[in-house]
Amino acid sequence: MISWRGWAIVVTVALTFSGAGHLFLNAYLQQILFYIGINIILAVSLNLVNGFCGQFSLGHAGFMAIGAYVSALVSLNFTLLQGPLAFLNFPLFALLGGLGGAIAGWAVGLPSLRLRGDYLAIVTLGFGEIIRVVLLNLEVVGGARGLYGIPGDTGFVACLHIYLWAGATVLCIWQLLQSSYGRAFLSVREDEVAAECMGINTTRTKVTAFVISSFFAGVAGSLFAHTTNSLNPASFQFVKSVDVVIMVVLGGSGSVTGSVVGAILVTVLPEALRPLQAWTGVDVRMVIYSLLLILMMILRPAGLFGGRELSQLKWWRRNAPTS
Amino acid sequence: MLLQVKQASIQFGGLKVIEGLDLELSQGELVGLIGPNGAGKTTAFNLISGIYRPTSGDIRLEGESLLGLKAYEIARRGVVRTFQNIRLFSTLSVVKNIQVSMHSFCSYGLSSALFATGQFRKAEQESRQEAMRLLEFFSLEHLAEDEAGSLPYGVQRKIEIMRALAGRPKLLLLDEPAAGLNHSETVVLMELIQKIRREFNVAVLLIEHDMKLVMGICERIVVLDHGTVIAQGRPTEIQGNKKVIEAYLGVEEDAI
Repeated sequence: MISWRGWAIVVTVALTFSGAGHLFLNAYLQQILFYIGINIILAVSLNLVNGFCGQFSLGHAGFMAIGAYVSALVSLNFTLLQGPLAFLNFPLFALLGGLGGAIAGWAVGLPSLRLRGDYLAIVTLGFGEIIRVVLLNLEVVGGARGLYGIPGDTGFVACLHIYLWAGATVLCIWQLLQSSYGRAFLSVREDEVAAECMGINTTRTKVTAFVISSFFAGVAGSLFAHTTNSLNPASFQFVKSVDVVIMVVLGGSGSVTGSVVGAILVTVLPEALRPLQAWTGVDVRMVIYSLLLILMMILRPAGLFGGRELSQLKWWRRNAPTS
Repeated sequence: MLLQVKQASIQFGGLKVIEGLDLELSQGELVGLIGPNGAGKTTAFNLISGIYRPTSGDIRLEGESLLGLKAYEIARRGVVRTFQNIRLFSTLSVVKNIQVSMHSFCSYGLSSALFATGQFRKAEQESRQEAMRLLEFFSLEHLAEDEAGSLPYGVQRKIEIMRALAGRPKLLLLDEPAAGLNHSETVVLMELIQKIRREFNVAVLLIEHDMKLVMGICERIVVLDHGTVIAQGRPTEIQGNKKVIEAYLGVEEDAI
């Protein structure tokens, strides 16, 4: 709960992860570690809208794309800081990417969050596709070729940067949920009419959640751009949005812990099944992956954590030090 | 005059649900709104609380028109309601349900919440204490952390009233607070409503089918039928009113 303690934990975890990754993992595994971090940001931020606010958004890849392209374009055309402060460049790019995402989120959210349920899903889906098609046809951003030669950190610094942002995302959203704003989000999910009659401006609440969510999607996009060093519109297809939704649903919508676990699982699973391909000679990864998802939805329809957090699990309560 | 409803009408397609409704409430008054099924009582509540907009007529709170205001704006001006079929935030804890209504008094901004500033912590503590005081007033403090949807029906009704009171209303609209309660629970509720009115200094307008409750506590009763007021007055006057009896029981055959 206490914020400085939270930040301390975030910094420690990020340092440990990056340090361990740098020392013990090869480039391939490090890459996976990067993607886990980026996916944690995407899943946790989408959960704010889908899980906590009860609005079904399917356009997360669109906001991610905006963040990625904004950040990449800025880094290719301008040098922001030089000399001893140069290490702040990438965090600044990420902030700009986030800002781009947030502005897009505001523009999309304001008219469309008045819609409910399926309609919102369709509008956000449409938005994501529009972004992709626009990027595909804009010569400034390289069209279908995309952008390449995007500068970026590597190894330890890149990992640290990603995990600091991932930690910040978790912490910010967690902290938000403990506040009066968090209760407003939840009340909208539970019963919109009742929330409105209790003095909650539901449209504003939803737009706020949407803007915060797309800010972090933009940040994730920026991190993605500077890790892969090249971008093209194909990375931000509809399937990417669905992937994030799967992470949220698998982990348990309405649980921050769940989203983190979901993001890790969905990133690691396809990679972990890779040896199977070498062994059997056929690519059965996606078959097993989808079977696992189906099984999961049958056995635990509310997701792994089902709206609960780590601190609410019996196991944790038994073993956690009392503080 | 706290609330003035002047010639309010609403129609859905060709169906006139409320027609020329006149209703007045003064500060701290306890008024019952009764009428047979389908008379338009809940619709009247929906008009006052801003869920529906009247097709014509005017609704004023302390002289200011509420027309065109959104439901949340009306709630913030001091008209807070409960629902006939309970609409709690069922997966949230009881205390959080109550705290949701206090969101409009929230004194800190988003950034303050993000960094858990002193202001944030102080405000959160105060809001929790206020919610706990309400719970203690209802003698339900032991249920503070329970999931609202998991509690018995009667308790849920009380939580709805608490949640409404947390919005610091000037006018409390209770939509069938005794529905589904047994006799002894209803008696307790009657006392509770009177106590609420004294302690919180609010006017109460309540819809109720339980005549014992209505006659027992209301100072004035307004009878609605087919969307218009057919009678109003003290409980004793209403009991003997011919129009009211006709509305409820129909007209005797030899009287036609």
